[in-house]
Amino acid sequence: MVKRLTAIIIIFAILVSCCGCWNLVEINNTAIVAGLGADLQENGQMHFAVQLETASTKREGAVKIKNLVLTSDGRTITEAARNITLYLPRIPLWPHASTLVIGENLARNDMALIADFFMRNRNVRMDSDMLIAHNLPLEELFSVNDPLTGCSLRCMEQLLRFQETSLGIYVPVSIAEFFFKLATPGVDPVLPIVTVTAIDGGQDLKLQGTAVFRDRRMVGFLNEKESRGYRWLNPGKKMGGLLGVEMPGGKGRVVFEVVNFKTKQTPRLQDGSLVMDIQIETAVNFYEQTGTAELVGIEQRSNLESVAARQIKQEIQACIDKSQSLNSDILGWGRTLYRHYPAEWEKLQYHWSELYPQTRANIKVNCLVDRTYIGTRSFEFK
Amino acid sequence: MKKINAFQLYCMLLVMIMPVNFLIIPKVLTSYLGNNAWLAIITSLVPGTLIIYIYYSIIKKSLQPFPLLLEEHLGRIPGKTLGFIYVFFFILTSSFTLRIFVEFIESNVLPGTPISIFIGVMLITAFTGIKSGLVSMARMAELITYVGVPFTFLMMALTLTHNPDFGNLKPFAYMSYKAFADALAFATMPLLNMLPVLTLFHYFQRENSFKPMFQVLLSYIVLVGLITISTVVALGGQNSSLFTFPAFVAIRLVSIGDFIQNIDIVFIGIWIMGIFGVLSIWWFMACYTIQQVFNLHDYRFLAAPTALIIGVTSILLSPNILELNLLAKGVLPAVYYFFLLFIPLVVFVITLFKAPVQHQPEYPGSENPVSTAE
Repeated sequence: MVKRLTAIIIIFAILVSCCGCWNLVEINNTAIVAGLGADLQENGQMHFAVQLETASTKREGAVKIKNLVLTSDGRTITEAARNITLYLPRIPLWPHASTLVIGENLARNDMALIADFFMRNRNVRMDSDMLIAHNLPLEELFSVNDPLTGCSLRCMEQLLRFQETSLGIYVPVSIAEFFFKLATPGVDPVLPIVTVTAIDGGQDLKLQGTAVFRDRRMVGFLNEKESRGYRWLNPGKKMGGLLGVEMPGGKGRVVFEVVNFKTKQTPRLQDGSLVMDIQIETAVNFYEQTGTAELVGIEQRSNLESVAARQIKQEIQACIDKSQSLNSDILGWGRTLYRHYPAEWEKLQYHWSELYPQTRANIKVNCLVDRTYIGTRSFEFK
Repeated sequence: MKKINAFQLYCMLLVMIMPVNFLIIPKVLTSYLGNNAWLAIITSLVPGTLIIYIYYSIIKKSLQPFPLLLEEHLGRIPGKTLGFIYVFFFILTSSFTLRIFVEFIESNVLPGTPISIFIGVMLITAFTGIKSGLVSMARMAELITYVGVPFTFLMMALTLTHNPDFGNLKPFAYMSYKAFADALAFATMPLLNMLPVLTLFHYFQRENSFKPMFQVLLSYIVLVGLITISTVVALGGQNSSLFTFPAFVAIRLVSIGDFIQNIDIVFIGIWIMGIFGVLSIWWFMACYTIQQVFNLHDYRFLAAPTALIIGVTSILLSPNILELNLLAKGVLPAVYYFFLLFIPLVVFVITLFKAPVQHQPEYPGSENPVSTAE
């Protein structure tokens, strides 16, 4: 009886003292973070920006500003981030941030200034999306309200995903992926660029280009066509996207929807130089044509496929040319070489910056036009 | 007399091996071998089988359980002395397990919480397990296995959903012999945690304990091998070695359809169950060894005083996580190999010259540890 009583007392004591988290924080004392930003000031100070979500009552309705932007400076990114608490009387919930935006000044200087912070900090979710703010201060970018939901950075996640499957231009990059590439020999990272655009009297965020890094610094960017080429070679989702081509002979423009695709890159050492064999297998659906020519049919199908394949090849070649002109191995050919010929890579890695721009690509695209949706022929006019 | 069955023995031995090494092995092996870390785990089948054979041979030729078998084969005074030293070793292993648990929780889950809270809570639960007897611990191990093994497979599958790059596994077998030997030694070390079988066999219903031990070896290779592969596929060989607990980082990255996310907390819950199992069994070995060395009537009352020693030792092991990592990678392997392999190897060599014995279910002068507490 005494034993049972003692056990009950101990269990009760444990239940009372250990039933909640030691570092419990009430929701009223917190601030929901939608996105983070980091930049480098001209005076060498780290600049930290944060977009906070604010709740609105029914009475406030749509009039209330939907997000709050706070910034602070410090000698390191940690000090800058903690300085936020000098005027934010709440605990920011960093794990809720779904987006990290890097200022262009920081990107062009040295990403090592923030790498350790983001790879060590357990409060930052490494699967958050990472972007570059092109040619504008973070405050301006963060102050933009999304016309539908208000909190613009919260929408970036969906924006990146939706354009990937519906347009197929930019590849979303997570914090983990970016920094892993910075740490891996034989591959350089990229980041999508976000900028501000005018829309219906206001402003909204827009994806525009892909930032290219060499080692730890941004050295240039890919335009839309080159970004499409990058996606063929380094896809996130291997499905979705549009492919627009001008038909020869003035037959107008045709738009295909990409169903799925597979990419294979194999290095080949030929006469002492490196050749990359690139093989793309893709299936597309005929989505639209602007001209009046009869383009849909058994006879026309092979022509459509060759035109589409040529377009894909051009996009890929544009991306390769740009990355080689910037001497940035964003395609990870060095890493691919290591995977196939590790002993060769051991010798070549020290001269890779000289070899990479001279590496030739042998691109083969096999495109299959699969479906034509609810019409089996081109539209016939009177 | 209640006994543990073959499945319970399998579960207890698996629990001894898996939870701590689930987090430690991928980190250490990738630091040696990068993308080829999994090769060391597969190769551990060979030394693992030899270790099992050593333990099995000792069991076959011993009348009494560990640590009494030391006296049986080495003589009374050397056996007693070694048994006395083993007490400290088992306290060390219990303390190290507790410390790994504390460091993981402090680093990844609840930083800022005083470690005395974690140590106290874990010690109280494991204390209850020991007080309730070996059968309760066997059932507890069953439960942990039922939950933990399917969950481990699930984790591995989910980890592969976040941008898997199977190319990370290449180049195949491109590594130095020395790095491979170091990694193999480290990959084999967890299998030495099967030493408690030398005690448990005495309460095992069947004579043949080789089968459950071999099943544990295969389970270890499959589970830890797959975890290491999935970690390398998700993070890359080189990147995996950057983190303290890369398998946990890989789990944190799991995101399925932007719907199933942040599942790391589920992993933590199940992992804590496993740590509870490991701690309880090592601690049981410490108490049981004290009982046998000093010819005490029971071992359960020893749980209370040893709890204090284990708690304090876990704090004193190292002042910080950096030194703890050095300890785990540099010092402890030598200590583990000495107590879990070298001494059993000596006993094994001696038993080579002895004939197999018929096991008796009970031995005179010792309390049956299998029965549950009143």
